[in-house]
Amino acid sequence: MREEPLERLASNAVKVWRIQGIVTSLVLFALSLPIAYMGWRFIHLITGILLLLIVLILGCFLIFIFPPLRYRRFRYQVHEEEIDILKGVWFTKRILIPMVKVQHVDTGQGPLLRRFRLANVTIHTAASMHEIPALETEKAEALRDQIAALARVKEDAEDDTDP
Amino acid sequence: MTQTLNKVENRFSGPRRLHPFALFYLIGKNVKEFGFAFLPIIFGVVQKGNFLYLLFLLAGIALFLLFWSILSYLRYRYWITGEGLRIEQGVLFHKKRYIPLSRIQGVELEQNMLHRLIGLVKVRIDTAGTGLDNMKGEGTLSAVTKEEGELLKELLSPSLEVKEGPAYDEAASLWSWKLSFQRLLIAGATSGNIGVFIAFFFTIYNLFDQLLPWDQWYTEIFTFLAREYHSLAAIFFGLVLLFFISWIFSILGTILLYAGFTIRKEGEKIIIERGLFSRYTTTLSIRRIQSVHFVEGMLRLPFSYGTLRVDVSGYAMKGAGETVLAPLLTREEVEPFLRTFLPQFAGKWDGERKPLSPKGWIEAALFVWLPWSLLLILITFALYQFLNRFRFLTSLSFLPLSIIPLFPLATYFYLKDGGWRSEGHFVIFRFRRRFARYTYIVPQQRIQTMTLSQSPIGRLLHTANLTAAIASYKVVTVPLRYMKEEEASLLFSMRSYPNH
Repeated sequence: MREEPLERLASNAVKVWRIQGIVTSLVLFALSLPIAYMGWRFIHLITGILLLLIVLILGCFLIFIFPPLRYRRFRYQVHEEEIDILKGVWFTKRILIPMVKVQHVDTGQGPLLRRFRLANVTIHTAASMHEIPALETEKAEALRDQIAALARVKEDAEDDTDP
Repeated sequence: MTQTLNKVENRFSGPRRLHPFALFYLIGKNVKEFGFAFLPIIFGVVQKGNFLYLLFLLAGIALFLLFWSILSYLRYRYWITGEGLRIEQGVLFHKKRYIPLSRIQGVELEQNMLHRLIGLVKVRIDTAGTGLDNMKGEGTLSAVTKEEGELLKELLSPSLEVKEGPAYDEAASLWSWKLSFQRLLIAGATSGNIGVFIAFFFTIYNLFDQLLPWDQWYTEIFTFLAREYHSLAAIFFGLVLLFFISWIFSILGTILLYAGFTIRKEGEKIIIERGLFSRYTTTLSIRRIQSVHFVEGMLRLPFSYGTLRVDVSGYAMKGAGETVLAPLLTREEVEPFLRTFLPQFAGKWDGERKPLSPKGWIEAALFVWLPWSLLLILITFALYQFLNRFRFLTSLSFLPLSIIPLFPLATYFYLKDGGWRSEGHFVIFRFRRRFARYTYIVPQQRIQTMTLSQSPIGRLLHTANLTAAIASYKVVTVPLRYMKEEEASLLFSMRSYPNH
């Protein structure tokens, strides 16, 4: 097996994901309340309670369990020839993006990420989009420029063989 | 030759209008676009019930649409400038477009019946860009004369030869292949292409809706069967009828798309002509082909027939969904066909493949059979409760359970047929997807990204799934499940970039 990539995300990522988890859980809870009420009125009290219980468990996962696992799993590394990403909590995924295929790279941050001075790096190829989430802003920007530079060099090298 | 080309280019060097026939297209388009806006007014007048008003109103609307269409016809101009095609259009909002030659992936000429009568063509220009920044259909010239269309195709086609070198002479087009009528019929009968025929079916149905009392016939037969035999018999009859009609229409649909299918090769270009009423001409640059795949549909597998297709970045044949090189070939013909038309893909497709891991059985059982079976049992339960309430066809609710035995069967075929091979700078994947068997030949340098994924069980059993993403008209993924871990990771990290 090819050796695993080394770089990790910013440690603040866990906090950000937790906050996102809290928001998602609250929204889910709010949405499920009327449905649970209807389940209680029209079917049985148990249906309503069951539904809320499921939402509660899901919320626990989103807030307490997934963020640290996701952080621990996610690794990336930018080589001269390719970008290597490892991710996934339950199903693991290893992605290899050859530099020659990179079409453009963006960085982006929502209000939450901005508060924690973090940003996402998004890598686009002709067939796919890949994200390295939650890096320190400066690091993300440097990474973006680095990938863009490497991709450009590669493109010049094989201009004719690939549209 | 260069001189004539220059002359030709001069012809398109200033703003030009479409053939006046395009006016009909614009009227049609405007009726579609503005029609809805007028509907409320029309309804309002109809409710008042004054016939004269309605007449005036309709005449007014028709006049407006005609006037508007003439204006948009006059505003629509196109010409070739510098290194691309420029199109300006729009009555109120002026739209200016510039399509650089470098972004053009293919030029397709299309003729429907009316076009053919008047000697016109429609020019469809396909541009680069996949799902992410899609600008498809942005360059369509709805009607130009046939001669102009062919010149435009020459000038805009994505190939360097057209611009500089001598134009091909007829003798150079040595290789061509034609789909025989018999094959066309077989292709139709075995296509199993639900999408094509459902659309076709509804068009015909709507067309004859007023003329023939379908509903009445159907209701009469249905009630007769239900009364005389059993309601299940009536439902069965309905299903068989639907299947049969769909099947007939799928044959007609295939004939419509692929009648007179010919493919020929001219230097670095492949030219495909097809279609019964609307003739389509497609020019592909071989350089842009990302992969070749042979698809053997469920109905074709026993007869060793299949369809040979290619992925071309940012392009798909109209109506076909993908780009078809040969609508129907036998397995044995694939190799000679490739040797003729795409020699770089030849000698790869039929070698021995490395098998998948037999541990795939365990993984499939846990991650496919188990969850889907549970879901089906749940559906059965809900259906039973529902039907039981009306005391109607309760036995029917057990139907979903009959799908469950199909899961092991699907896994059996997947593991039996699936496999991979790496040959030089090519990867060959064979797998099953939706009952059809796919064999992909992908040059490694055309793979956009490779993804290696493992389920928790896969990590224990050392099995892995490998997915290659290819740039086609949309994102195409070529997945191979249940590979042996060491083989998958070997293939995953194999690098063969051209500068290596």
